[in-house]
Amino acid sequence: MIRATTGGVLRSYRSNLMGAFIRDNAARNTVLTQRVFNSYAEDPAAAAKTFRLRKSRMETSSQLKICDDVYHKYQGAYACLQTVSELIDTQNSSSNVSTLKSTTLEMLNDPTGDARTQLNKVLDNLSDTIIQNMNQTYGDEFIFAGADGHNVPFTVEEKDGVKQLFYRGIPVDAAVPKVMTNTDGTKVTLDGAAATTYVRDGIDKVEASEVDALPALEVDANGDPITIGGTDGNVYYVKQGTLANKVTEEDLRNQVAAATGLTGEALEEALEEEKAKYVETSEFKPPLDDNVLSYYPKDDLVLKDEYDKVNDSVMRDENGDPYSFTVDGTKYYAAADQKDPFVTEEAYEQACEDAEKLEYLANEKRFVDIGLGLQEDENGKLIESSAFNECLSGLTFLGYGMDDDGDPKNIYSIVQRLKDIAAGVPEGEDWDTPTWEEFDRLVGKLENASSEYKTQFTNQSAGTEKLKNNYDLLEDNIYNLKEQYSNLEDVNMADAISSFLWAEYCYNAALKVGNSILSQSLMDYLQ
Amino acid sequence: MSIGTFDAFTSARLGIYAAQHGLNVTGNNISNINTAGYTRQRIDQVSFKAGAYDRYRSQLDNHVGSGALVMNINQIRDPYLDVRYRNTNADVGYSDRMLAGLQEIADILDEIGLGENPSDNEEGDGLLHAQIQDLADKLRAYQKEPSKANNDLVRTSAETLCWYFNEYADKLERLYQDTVKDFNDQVTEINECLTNIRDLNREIRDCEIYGDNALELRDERNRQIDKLSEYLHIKVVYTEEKIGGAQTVEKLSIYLDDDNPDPAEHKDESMLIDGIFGAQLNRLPKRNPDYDENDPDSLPYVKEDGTFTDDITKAALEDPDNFFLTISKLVDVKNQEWKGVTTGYEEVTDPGVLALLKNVNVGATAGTAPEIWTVKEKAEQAVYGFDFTPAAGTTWEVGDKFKIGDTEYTIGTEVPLATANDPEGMAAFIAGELSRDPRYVDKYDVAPDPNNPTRILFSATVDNAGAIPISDRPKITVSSDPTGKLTFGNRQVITAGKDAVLTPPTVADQVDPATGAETKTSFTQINGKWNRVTTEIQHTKEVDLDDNDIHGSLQATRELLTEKGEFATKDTVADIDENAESKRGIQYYQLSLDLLARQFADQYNKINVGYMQDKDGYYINKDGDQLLLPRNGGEPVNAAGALTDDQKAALIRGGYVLKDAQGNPIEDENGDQIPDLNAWLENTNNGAVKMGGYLFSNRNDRDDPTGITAANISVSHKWSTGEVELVPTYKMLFLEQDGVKVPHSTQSDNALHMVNMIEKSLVYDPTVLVPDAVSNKLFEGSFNGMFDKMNTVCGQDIRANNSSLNTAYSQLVEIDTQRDGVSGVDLNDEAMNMMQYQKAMTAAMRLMTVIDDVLDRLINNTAM
Repeated sequence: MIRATTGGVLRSYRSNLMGAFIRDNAARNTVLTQRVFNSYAEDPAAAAKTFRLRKSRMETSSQLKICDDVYHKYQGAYACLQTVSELIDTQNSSSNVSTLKSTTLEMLNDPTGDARTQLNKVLDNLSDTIIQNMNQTYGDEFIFAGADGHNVPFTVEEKDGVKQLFYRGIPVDAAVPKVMTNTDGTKVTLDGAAATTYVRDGIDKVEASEVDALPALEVDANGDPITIGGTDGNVYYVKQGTLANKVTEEDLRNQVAAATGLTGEALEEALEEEKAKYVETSEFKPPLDDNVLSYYPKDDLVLKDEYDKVNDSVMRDENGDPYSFTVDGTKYYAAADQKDPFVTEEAYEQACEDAEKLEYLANEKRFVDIGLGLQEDENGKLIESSAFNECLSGLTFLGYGMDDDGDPKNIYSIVQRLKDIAAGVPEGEDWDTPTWEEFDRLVGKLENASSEYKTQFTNQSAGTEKLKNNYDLLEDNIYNLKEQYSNLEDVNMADAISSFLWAEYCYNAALKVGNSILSQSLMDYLQ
Repeated sequence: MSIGTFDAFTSARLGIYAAQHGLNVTGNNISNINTAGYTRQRIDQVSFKAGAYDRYRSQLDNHVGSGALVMNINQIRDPYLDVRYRNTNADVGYSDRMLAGLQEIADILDEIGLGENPSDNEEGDGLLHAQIQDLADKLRAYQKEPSKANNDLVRTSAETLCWYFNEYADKLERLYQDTVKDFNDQVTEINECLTNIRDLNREIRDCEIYGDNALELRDERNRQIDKLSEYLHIKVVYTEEKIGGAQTVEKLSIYLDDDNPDPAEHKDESMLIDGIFGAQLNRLPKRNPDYDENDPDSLPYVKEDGTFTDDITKAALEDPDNFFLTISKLVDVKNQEWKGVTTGYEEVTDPGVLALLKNVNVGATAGTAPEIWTVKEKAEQAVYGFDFTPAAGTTWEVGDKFKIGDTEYTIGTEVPLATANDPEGMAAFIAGELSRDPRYVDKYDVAPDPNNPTRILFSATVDNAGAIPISDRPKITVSSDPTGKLTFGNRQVITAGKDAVLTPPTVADQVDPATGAETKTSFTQINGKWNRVTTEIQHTKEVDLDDNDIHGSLQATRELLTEKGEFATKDTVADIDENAESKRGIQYYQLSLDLLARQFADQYNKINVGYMQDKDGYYINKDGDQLLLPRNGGEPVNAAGALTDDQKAALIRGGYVLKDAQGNPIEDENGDQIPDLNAWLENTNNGAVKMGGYLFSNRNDRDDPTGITAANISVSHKWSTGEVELVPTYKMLFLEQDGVKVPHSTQSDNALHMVNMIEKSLVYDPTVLVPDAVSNKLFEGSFNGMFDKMNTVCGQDIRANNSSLNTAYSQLVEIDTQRDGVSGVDLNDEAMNMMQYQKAMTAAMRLMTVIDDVLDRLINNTAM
């Protein structure tokens, strides 16, 4: 610069003074706000990063709340399950409360049945208590209701003195009925039934041809077969249309005489030979009560016992017709005296549907975001490993459906069956062997169900532990996130104050310089 | 030596006057030390000498000067520093205005340090940032426990979020409107500056004509120009203007300074001021397409109501969103239009035309397009003759000398005697010599005149014989003829010769559409050569500026108002600014916020409207039966699965295809229609059971999910009244109420989608809001990420502009200081001047006293 002018120097000074003041102000703001930056413009990268960290913190805090909630629900579940566990087979030393296991054992070992009725009541009460425990709530939510937390999960309906347990409206014992199938996989249906009815697998069957071979019989006015008592001690049925073939002894003699021309002794001998072809029957007819002998050709009569044995081997409907079905082209009749051998299509499908529902409900999932990296695939379907399945289904613990023996797998149902069996034995009487064996078998099933319960209980405990660990992890994350953005945002006060003091020092220095600029001029020295 | 009795008084008086002037100027400088724009002045002082020298003056009579004269008072300015100052001032103006605008945007959107989170006892989580997370928190609670109470909490949080969107959008809109006002104010201020400068030019011109330098007016003009240079990048040109009588005055012109990066674009150099003529800036008006300049009843502009006007300020705006500007005609204070005429002469050098000139036999027409010259008259050869005289019987003799041009030849030496006396021989000799002289070579045939044996003829061989200058015509003179008998006669023109006469073409007048300049072309012969005469008549006309034709704070304001970044249309990039995609103004942030709000609303509306599904996700009818597609013999449709080819074909056959807003089918990259399952589900005949309802609407008293922006996003009417609630699931398991399938009470898989949506990576596509946008992907990420991106972009733009501003401002201060070093008043300087003039005045006064004493002694006290 060739020439420095008053205005130029002042302008330059003013600009520099302003700069010093701006820096001083910025340093002061830094100290006052205790923040390294106060806008994105000051440090866009750090600002964006802190907002990401803060967003993560808020997200984690929210997940922590959910995790905490689920954790406490699981803790509540644990308490319930622990109680149930104690009711099933763990003696509560403090209260001496009976358990299912101890009660059933007592019943099995009570041959005289003195305490059976009381024990039965205990059994019933215990099973009801178990259900009450499984219907506990956490807050407004039923703990073991799966995804229907606002409605009580287990309900008991009593019909004809029999209690049936329902889970969310589905009978817990529902199972797919086993039905007979042809080799082509089609279900075997009951012939001639009004609605499609399936034949249960495993029933006894009789080839229809065997029964169908029985002859038609003469019947009385009631439709009952006419029975003929043979002098040989057998009872016979008369084949249809042969009733008129009955003859008397005199008739026979005349026939033989006419045929042979014999008379006398010879005729009597020939008559005896002829009688051998007939069944001799006797009829006592009032008022004389004379024993009237009659003769039926042997071919016209059927031995009642033999006939009945075949005829009664099959189940019959109200019309007396046997229940028939065809398996792979062969017609069969259902063998007699079988329990519940058929199932209607409607009932079958309802059972299938119920079984399917039970299966679904037992494996029902309800995921919540507890900070496992919630994510969905490209079709919007949740990636299950990224969320926590907080669903607790009571079915999983108490069991559902039927086993291969047709026995229920649900603890409550088993107990109710035990109760019903025991109730069927008159008070004070001994067990009969089949009943005892059935009771014993079911006690074994109760043991199995109890074992499964413990397994599920253990799994639930592991879930509780996982939640606790996750909770701790989330807490740590929040702390770490706070620390991270604090490192980015918050000033080091020592640095900030030093910078501020330096800026203030510079500003003061600039002010002093200004004083000297304004005071010095040649004008001041003119005389 | 003679001394005029009162000369010394004059010297003293002039000295006093000069010193007084000096003191006045110094005082003026000191007084104006704080006057904005003041340029220091100084006197132009010369030594004065009266009288004249004459031939007969005494050698001893030494003339002494008669004192000092103040010839002028000047300003001291450095034009180069002015140019630099104004260039840098435009940079400062641009960066400063842009920075201020961006800072205002940041003041609205930047949430650093804002917000208090009572649940975490944390400060600085932001507002909209934190509200999105608050909504996520409420959604998680709802998902965990899908109750009415939690639904209401989500809705309340959503209402707050909408409020933030509305608030930010409202503030941005207010900023936009304020910036529009600022833009209009700046245009007004620029026009005031232009008017002031034009009027000052006139006043200064008038002053100059009357001999006044008008320094103060110049200061004011410079101040106005400096002010203008902050708004617009300008170029200032000083020229001399003839005012008649061989007198000139200074003329100041101001142009836009070529800021458009396109070198072919010249509207960015348009004239704003030319001496006493000045233009105005206006928003680009809607013009009357039928306007006829020559029809007095025709009006040039269209008003909003469709009527016409000649007042541009009342005209409707053409493309108002782009804030285009137009420069008005240059007019003087009496509204008379500027007109400039320049005439240029250019010799025709077209080879076609020249060939035609030489070759007269080429035919009727020749030359190069578009200027078709025609032969009007053929050229004729010139023939010059020299009488070859000795008289009969006399001959050249050895020793005689003659010259051809300047070269001398001696008979007997260069020219054999026999040759010299033989006309044919002499002609051949001369021809040979001429061929060695570049002036004559190939121009002449030399031969004896067959009709006059004593004459040698020089016939021009070139066609444009008429154009041969005299200096190139051969000249033969006898330089030495001792006998005095020999001579060459004077050169005689036997045949004058003439050029071919061509008819020049007629060139149509041309009008430059950009500048309106008329160009008239004619041809004329000057000194025998054809010249193209180009007359350019510049008419002042309105110049519509392009997007990048200006620079400075006005352009910064324009860019704040118009630039949309990735939302710029393809047409804008193609036709207006190829860099439009990377420039972001207020509208970019408005549209980004709108896109965020739209995305948010669309996604949640989409999640909350669906169709009943079975437990496996297959769509079902009210009876719980799976829907088949096609309906007869088709397969079930899974909400989370892909459609089979048959299903897609069935949808397309049924007309269920994606359509645009006009209802036309949208096609994929292969030109195939895109099946639209939702349209199929929407048709109640297909049996789907619709569930849920819209959560967000474009007004809170409606349930209209279309056209949602940040300004209008609201919780829908039905959600507000409870008619619609969040849909926790679309999956019906096996519950029914009153014959209607209902979900189980805490099923919440759909609510989990809602939770997931908060962090879901989504593509933010500008074409959603601007169908013709140049980019189809602004950002990919979460809602928070999108808002973060807006702030980061703004922050980075602020940093960049801040840096530019600091650099430019430092330069400006430096240049201003330098300028002040030249033009500013310095107290030390003025103190020195003051002392100097004081001393000078004291000395002059003292001189006067001395002279007075001397004269007093001489007149009164000298003894007679």
